[in-house]
Amino acid sequence: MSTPTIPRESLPAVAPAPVGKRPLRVNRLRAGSRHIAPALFLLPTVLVFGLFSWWPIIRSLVLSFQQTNLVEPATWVGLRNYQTLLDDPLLGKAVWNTVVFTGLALLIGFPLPLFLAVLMSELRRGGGLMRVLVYLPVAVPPVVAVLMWKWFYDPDTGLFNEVLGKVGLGPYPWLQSADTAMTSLVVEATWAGAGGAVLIYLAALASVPTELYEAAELDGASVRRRLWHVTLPHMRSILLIMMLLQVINTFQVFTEPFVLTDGGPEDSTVTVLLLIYRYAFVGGDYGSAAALSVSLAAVLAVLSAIYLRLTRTWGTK
Amino acid sequence: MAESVPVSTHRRRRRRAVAGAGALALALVAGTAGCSSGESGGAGSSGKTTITVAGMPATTAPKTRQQFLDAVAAFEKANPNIKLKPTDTQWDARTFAARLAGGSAETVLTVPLTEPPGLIARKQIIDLSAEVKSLPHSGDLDPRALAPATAADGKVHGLPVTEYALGLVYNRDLFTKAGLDPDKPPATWDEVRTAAKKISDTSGATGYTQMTVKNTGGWILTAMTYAYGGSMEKKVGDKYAPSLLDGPAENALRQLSAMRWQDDSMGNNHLRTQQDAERDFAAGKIGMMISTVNSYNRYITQYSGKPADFGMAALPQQNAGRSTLLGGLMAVVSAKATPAQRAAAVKWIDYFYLKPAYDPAAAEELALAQAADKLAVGLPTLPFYSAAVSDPVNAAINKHANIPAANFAPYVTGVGKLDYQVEPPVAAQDLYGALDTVVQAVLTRKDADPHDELAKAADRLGPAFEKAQAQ
Amino acid sequence: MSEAERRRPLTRIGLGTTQLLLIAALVIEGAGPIYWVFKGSISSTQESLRHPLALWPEEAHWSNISTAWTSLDLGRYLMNTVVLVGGSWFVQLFVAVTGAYALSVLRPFYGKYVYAAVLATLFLPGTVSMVSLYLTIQDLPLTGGSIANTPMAVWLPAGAHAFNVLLIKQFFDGIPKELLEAARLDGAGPWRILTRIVLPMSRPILAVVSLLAVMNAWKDFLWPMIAITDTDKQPLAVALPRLADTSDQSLLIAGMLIAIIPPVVVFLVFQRQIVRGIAFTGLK
Repeated sequence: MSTPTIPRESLPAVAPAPVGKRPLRVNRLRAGSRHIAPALFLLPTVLVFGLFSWWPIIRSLVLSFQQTNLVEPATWVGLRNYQTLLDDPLLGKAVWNTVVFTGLALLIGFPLPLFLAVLMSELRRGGGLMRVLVYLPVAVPPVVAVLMWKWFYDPDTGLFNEVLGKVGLGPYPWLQSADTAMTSLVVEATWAGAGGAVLIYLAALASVPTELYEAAELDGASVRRRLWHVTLPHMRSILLIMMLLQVINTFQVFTEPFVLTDGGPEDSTVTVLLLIYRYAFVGGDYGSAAALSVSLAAVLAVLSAIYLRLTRTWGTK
Repeated sequence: MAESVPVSTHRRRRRRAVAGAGALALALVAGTAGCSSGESGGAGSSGKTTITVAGMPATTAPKTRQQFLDAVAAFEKANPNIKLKPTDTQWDARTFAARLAGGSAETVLTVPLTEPPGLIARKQIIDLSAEVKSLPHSGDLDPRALAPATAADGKVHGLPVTEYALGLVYNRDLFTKAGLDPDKPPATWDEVRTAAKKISDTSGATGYTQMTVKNTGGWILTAMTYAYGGSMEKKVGDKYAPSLLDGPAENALRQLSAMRWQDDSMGNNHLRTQQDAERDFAAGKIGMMISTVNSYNRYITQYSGKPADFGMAALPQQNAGRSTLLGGLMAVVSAKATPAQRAAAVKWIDYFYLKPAYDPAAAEELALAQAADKLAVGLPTLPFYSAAVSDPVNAAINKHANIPAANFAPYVTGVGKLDYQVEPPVAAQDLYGALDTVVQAVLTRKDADPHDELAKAADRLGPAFEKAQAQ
Repeated sequence: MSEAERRRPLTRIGLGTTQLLLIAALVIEGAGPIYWVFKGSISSTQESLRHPLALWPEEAHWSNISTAWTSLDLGRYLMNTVVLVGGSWFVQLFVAVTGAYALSVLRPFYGKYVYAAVLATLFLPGTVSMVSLYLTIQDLPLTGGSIANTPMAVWLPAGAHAFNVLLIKQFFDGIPKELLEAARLDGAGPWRILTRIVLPMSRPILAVVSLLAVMNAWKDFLWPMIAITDTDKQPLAVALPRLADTSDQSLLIAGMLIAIIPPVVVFLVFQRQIVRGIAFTGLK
């Protein structure tokens, strides 16, 4: 269920060496099996995508204009489900919370991996060890990471308040206050996700041609200037792609609020996906859940389209 | 890679292999689909009516499970035209509607008392009034026991499995340590406040805790509001509206706020589920909380709590209050049932769930099985029938009681003076969800004003109430 | 930083200090929490409360781990996880390989429409059709019946993963067509060409897709939670949050340790491949 996240520019790295001539087409198979074989090979794809991707997408759209108790036939209700959404004061809150989560995640979670990657690439030794350490949190299953942090945040016995207490700070409410709950979630999510980004940036940094640095050095540019004028421009595309990917992923944040706070305190961590879940699986209102899903899908589709456009244009550079 | 790969030209083999890919795909999708498809049931060719019945105890309670299976066999023998298919699927509100649609939901389900109003409103369970009338002792059925599944028009949509009034659960050991008399638990909310402060001051434990998430915040606040003499919904014209601002709910919240911010007797965790509250209570970290009678079963079996420390009192009352909230399980029948299935379902509900409430011998048999599984026997539950029918039954059960009866004595005496009230009739889950927010606000933000928070919740509930009563 | 700069003594000291500080910070950030879970899992709940900051418990309760294993029934959940992950991996690979092969090599005339429809789903993350997917597995079209509460409910939707098809198809596109044509002239059928020529050449991409598939399946939470409500059939990731509310703290932490060990061990063993794979593909 997770978003595919592979920028295409990297593909040639694992693809076989291209051959000189334009490849021939090979589908001139003997009559008889010529039509059957491709159909049979496509069958798994068509069946699985049909049942578990295409049909649910269409069904979401249809369902968003219907009301159903799943027993009697569904009835068409026009835009009423969308009206229900707009009438629900929680929707505004959920959208706002999701945007805040995304924004905070960008603010905290975006520069940090870049900074780490630049630092790690400048320090030449211990690279292997640092890579392992940096990626270790990503290897922890997300749910376990969340439960781990719940334990660290615990208001009675949590590690954070104990440690900060030793230096005379706190106790802080972490998840127990509407003011700090969302930030606490973002910190956890950043811990759990930053490692992957660091590795990607490291790879991108390694691909900056050394001649560029040498030229800059001859011009007498300082380290900071070189970073600003050579490194970052070279990484512009990968940075933008990673940013979009992060936005697409954080727009669908669910596990953190679901496990840590159940949307509380005071609805301060209710996100759009959590609201969809509640409409469908707590309230049994599948129509409104579908309407909200479709609305979220529209936003994500635009973001994904930008993402795919970027990877395509920059992947060929 | 080598240019020429030795390749067989055996054509038939190739065909088969190609076909294999597609066949496997078909098998993946199609071949498996039938595996748990629902009993479309109804009268089969043999003239038998088949119904699926939920509520079989899990394998962790082998004796009661066997007792259930024995009852199924005995029932089938007595009713040769009915075939039962028992399942031990747990009720899950999340999946019920979809299972109903997919045909895999049981014909007879046991659901918590919070569910029937929503199920009735969504027309997912059916009216049993006609069948109920023909049951033995139906005239003696206590309307209070039927109330949670009785629709606004008086139609009965479910029958009681077990019912009890919410009360104050407290740790007798912490009471003693705090210099409180465990045999005289708090009877008012002012006394709860005093006791909570003493407990947290002397032992460092949480004096009183309140559940706040997954709709439990609203559920418990509703019980408290009843205890403050109020209600959550009232009829305005011919429709229900939230009555959150009438005073009692606000008073209840002010009491919580005082305990939280003035006394600091409610601990630091204010995002509590029912499970983690019960776990921490059994571990001796919590002095008091509002809970159900049958939480004692989980206290013993799941959380290994000490029976001697478990104390239970009636729900403390304040001001004009003299009410408590009813909890428990009811048996309901899926809307997909045919008339024949419906009749069979009610027969089974009567045989398995009601008979032990009116037939002393059946009651004793059930009690023996429960005692053998180390489940609690003799818990003070709500009788379904008038005293003439219930008293001999209770006497039979109490012969095998295995609970520290004295620890429940304050509850039994206290609850007798209280009215039993049911869940709010309209959009209860929406209401509870909105009230979770209110309770969390009061417990996590010092300057949260109960009246303002309730007003916000009432505003938020407007559309949900309108939608629920739109028919 | 240039070689000349690196040779300056002040820079060298600065670099060395920074290096040490960075590694220390990364040890605390990366390995610290996992160590803390390890420590917590062999401490009694009482001791964790009394000496919350001790680096090692006064008395190591190794039995916590085996107690957690039995009393929380972790073996069952771990097994469920393995079954779900294994099946998801197989279905993803099977669908992507057969589909990509048909689209890249066999190329029926309608292939481009199918491919477009597959790629279109890239725009819509699975979570947004979660609700209707749930209704779908409860009552499958074509065959009818429900696959909810069975591993199929996780395996099959996992197969509808457009990115795998895209990756593998692009790889297949790069295989020299002369090779395939030669095999065809030798009389090889499509299945033989796939298994004897295409697949052996595709090990790198199959490894990347497998890695993706296994990691995603192991991490998945929301969909298995919705699709498998029978607690006996749930994977570890779904069972743990439920157990978190009902279990003793030290047992729960031991349970978390058990959930962490397999992926971390896999990562440490295959870290070279994984780090390279991630750098190549940008997967998170």
